[in-house]
Amino acid sequence: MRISTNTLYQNGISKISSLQAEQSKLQQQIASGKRILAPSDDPLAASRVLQLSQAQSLNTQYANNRKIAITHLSGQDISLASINELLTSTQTNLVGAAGTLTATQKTVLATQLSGALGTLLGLANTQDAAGNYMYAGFQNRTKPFAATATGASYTGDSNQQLLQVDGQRQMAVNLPGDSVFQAGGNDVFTTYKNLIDTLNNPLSTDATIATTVATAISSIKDANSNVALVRSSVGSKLNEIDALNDVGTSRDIQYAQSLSSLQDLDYAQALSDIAQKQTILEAAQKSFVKITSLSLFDFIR
Amino acid sequence: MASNILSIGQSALAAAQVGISVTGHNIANASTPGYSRQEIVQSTAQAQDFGFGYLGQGTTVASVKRIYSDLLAKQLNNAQSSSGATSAYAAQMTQIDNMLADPAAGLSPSIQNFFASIQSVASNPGDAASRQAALSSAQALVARFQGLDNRLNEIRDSVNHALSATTQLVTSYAKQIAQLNDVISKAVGANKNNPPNDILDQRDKIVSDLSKLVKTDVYSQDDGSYNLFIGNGLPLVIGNKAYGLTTVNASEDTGRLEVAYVSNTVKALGDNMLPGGTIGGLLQFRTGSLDSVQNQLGQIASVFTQTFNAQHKLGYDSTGAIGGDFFNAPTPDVFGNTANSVGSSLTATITNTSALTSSDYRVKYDGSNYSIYRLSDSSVQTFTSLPQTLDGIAFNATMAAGDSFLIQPTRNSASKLSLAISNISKIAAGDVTGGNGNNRNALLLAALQGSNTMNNGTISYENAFGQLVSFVGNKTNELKVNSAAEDALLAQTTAAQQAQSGVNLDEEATNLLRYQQAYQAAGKVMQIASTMFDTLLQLGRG
Repeated sequence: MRISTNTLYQNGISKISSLQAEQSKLQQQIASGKRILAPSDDPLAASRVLQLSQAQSLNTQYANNRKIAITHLSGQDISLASINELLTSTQTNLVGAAGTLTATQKTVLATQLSGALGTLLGLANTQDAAGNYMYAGFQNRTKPFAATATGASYTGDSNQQLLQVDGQRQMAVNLPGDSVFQAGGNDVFTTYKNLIDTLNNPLSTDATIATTVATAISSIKDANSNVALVRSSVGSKLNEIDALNDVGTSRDIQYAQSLSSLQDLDYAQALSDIAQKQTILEAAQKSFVKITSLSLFDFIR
Repeated sequence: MASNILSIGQSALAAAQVGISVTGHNIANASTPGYSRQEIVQSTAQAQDFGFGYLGQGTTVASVKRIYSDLLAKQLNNAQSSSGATSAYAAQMTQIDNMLADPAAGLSPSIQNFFASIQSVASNPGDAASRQAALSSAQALVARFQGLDNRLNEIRDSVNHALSATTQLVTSYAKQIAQLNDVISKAVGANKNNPPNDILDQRDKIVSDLSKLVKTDVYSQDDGSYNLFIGNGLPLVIGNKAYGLTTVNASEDTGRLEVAYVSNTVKALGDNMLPGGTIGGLLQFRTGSLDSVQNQLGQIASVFTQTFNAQHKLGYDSTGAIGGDFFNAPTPDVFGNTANSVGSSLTATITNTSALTSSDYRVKYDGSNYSIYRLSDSSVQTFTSLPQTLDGIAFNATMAAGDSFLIQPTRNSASKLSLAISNISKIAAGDVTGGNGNNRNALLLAALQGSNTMNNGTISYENAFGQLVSFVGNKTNELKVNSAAEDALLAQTTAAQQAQSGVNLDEEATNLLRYQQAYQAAGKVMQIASTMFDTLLQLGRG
């Protein structure tokens, strides 16, 4: 077959330049560590990578939300423990005060109870790290409880703030004050105030005092068990978050593995490919030079 | 007798000289593009009857011919057209492919960041810093939409630019071929047997270059001239008369250049009228991929803003006021045909984002019926009156018979997107209950990220973007494969054509030696003739 000198050169150049293009691509892949440099390299994997990275980003977001939930819930746990302690100590005091009380005993008890009421109000108005009131429902910028003549008034609301702690799980992370201190119509502030007022009233008979103390013991006991109940629900939420964290972490590893298998480069393969291309390129260059250096004109003298 | 030998020698000497000069011409043009090697057509001179028989009178050079095959040239031109179209398409498509190459520069991370910031607002609805971050990431998302769309618009501009440059080149080639036709037909008229080889090569080279730009059919005429037809049979050159191509603004979408045919009038050509070549590739890219990609991006922008706005308006902001628009939602573009009657108008409003497609639409009125064409699949629906709703778009119009409108519901949506609020208190994170800690609407807004809001409730924003990336990747991949195949075919056809017409320097070296020896031998013949004559002269002297 006849071949033109142009074709000889053209063939050599195009083979060498396509080898160089392949090498350059391998080089880019090795430098970036990625198998897919553009969607066209593997369209299916490229769109799968986007899906996975969305899932991974959501998973990370839920993990962040869980951290915030933990901050809220562990703050409540500590605060509820203090409330529980306070109510238990009042309960002990009152049980000790059964029977007829002297005037001095009444005054001492009333003073103790006033102090406890103050502390309890303080605890009910606890703020979290962000300065939000813990027991205020959605009204967390306003101090929820204020002392009144009959106990305390609640200016918060009964709304629960939910957080998306997992794909399908929204978790309440606040405790409206009315559900903690005024559950089921049993207002612990009113109980304290009523008892203090009765003790301080010189006209109160021993029988009235005895009845009021007994009612107060029962009321505070109920309130305390409500606090314990609330606290245990906080605890179980914290446990649930632990479990969700475990699932989230293992999911994250799965996503990372899938992403890696889709887009990361097999270095061993790539390095072997580049060495192979190198050999072929060298051979192509050498043979090109050899072929084109042959000319009949060299022999015409 | 001796003088006869001398003239035979002289004829051989002259033929060898012509041979050497043709060989030299071949060597000189070995790398000239479009050059076909030439060779001499040599034959014996008229023999003379001397009574004892015919005696040869030496040689004569009948003509110099070029080695050229119409068939191979035609195959090469066809291969040029196909490869020109595919490589133009692939070159443009690769730009979009590269734009989406870095996942971090795509839409997904911006959507993810935006929704992460909405989640943050849900976690801390009263926190000013979280709200500020939500506005910032919304702004970043808007910028990303705009950035991607601007890049697509740049590519669109470059297509316009390339079309106007290529059509000018086609016109210029047409003129050159018409001129060469004139020269060739005169030369052929003067002597039919001696073709003007180099001018023929020159013309064939221009036809080949023209084939790269647009599919070209060549019809040779008896007078040696070419009649050229481009695309689906548009005459470009007839004898010494040239027509041309130019670009005009589309009659509806005025930012779009269309290719037009110039004869006595200028007539815009449909995108299907010019298959093949760079022009065909560019037109195919624009209608087949660029429009579609930009519409899909716009569809995500439209659906995203409208669904987000709709949910945002169900909430209440920090001041207790009902939520307003979070983003300024893009509206469809409507283009009236430049030939429409005075006072005609059309409005298109997106009423159902879930049903919204990425197609463009055309509305025509024939005096009794309104036809709404969905351009992506060329389907049509006919109504006797408007308003009508199709694919989530409400169409209403005042039209006279013959009027037509082009509607691009999402083409420029990604560019037109902007943020509607700048005050952090305007983020409607809560519901009607109010309160600093109220995050109910923020939770619902955040949930939109994973909701199947698009394409009749089948995919989310990000998955829609994933589909777009996959469309671009597949198309680019397909074009790369086709392009490689076309290139291989072109290389083969070129090699076949060159195998016949190309110069081989070794062959020319051989010819050089051959003609040199022929020249020397002819000289020898003349020398002998001279010696013979000398012998005769010596006889007289002796």
